[in-house]
Amino acid sequence: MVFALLAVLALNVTTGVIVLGGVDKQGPLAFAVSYETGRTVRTIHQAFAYVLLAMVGGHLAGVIHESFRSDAKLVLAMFTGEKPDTPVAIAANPARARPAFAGLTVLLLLGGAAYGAVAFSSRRALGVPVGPLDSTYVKECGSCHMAYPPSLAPSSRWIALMAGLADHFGEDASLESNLMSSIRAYLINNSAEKWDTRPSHELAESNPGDPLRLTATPFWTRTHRLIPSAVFRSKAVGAKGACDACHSDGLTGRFDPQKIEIPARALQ
Amino acid sequence: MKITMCCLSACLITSSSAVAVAGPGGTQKLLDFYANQAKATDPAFAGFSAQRGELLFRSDFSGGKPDTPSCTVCHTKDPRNVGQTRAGKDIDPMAASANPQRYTDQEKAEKWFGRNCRNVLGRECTAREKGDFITFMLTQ
Repeated sequence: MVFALLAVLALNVTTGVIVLGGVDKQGPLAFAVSYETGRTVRTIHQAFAYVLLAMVGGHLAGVIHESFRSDAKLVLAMFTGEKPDTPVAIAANPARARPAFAGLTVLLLLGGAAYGAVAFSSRRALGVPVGPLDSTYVKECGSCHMAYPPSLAPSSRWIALMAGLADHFGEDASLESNLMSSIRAYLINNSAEKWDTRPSHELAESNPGDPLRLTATPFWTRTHRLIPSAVFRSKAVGAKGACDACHSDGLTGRFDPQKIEIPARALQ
Repeated sequence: MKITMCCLSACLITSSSAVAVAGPGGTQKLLDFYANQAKATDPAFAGFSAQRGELLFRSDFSGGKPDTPSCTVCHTKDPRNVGQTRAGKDIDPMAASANPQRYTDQEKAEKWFGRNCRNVLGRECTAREKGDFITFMLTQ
């Protein structure tokens, strides 16, 4: 039972690292796992998480039952390694304690694991946009709103957006035609299809009622549903489309879950 | 008739004072650019007016896009304030005193007059309106 528990635990850790690498592009496997693989393994990870929870429950129930049944101090034994009432037949062959050897083994294992995790984690994540956005794009499109990383929309949406700049979400955002074509080319060349981040996959699904608006996409609506609308209206944020007000890495298109911080002023 | 007279005298007074407040050389060049255009379309053009510019800045219009009936929607009622676009981005102040970079770049001025006149008024602004607007902002 204990070995089964440890095996399921190990499986959960492994699948978790794969999910983290594929879906969030973080951790030691971010360089190797695709979003698609991450999503598939996530299903297994979730299923085994429930199995693990059930086994933990069974394990604890067993400990409690055994404690009452035999009066053994099982929890204390975890620290001392001794069960005073262990039958002699089973307690035969007491191993000699070698704390220095044990300590060194643990240190080597943990050190090796830590070194490996850090070394692998520092590799470039698979399909994550790097480098600053095109400076012309930022200048022309970033004056009125955040310069949205091209990875946040599929090329079809960029094409439709660039075709309607004279009425761009209720405003005239016309560009001189040479500029328009070069920005359009930049957006298409770097659109969501070219990347493997979570936003590049999830934001590709449009809202049929408002197909061009990023903040109307099902994914955006779902992930922001718990944030009060007053936060978006606040001076510190300004609007739903101001991603970088809370996502400090929003301008890169990466959107790490750990890089989210709603400005304190927006919550007052 | 009375109004016309009023406007005429106002623009005569302010056009002379506008020259005095026009700061960097680029600004004067920009004003000259619009003055030449205004003269070309209207031989009776007699200079820009800060009052007319202020009226343009503060008025509500109905011809433009419904979300932006006036300049002040985004730029606030005080041109020295930092404004905010509808998408939440800060806009540097419009007043020349608060933002000396303003009105020194013809290309930039044309781009934003182009977009924002269509947004607010639903049409292109005339050269006189653009000159009036800048003249008002130079007094702020």
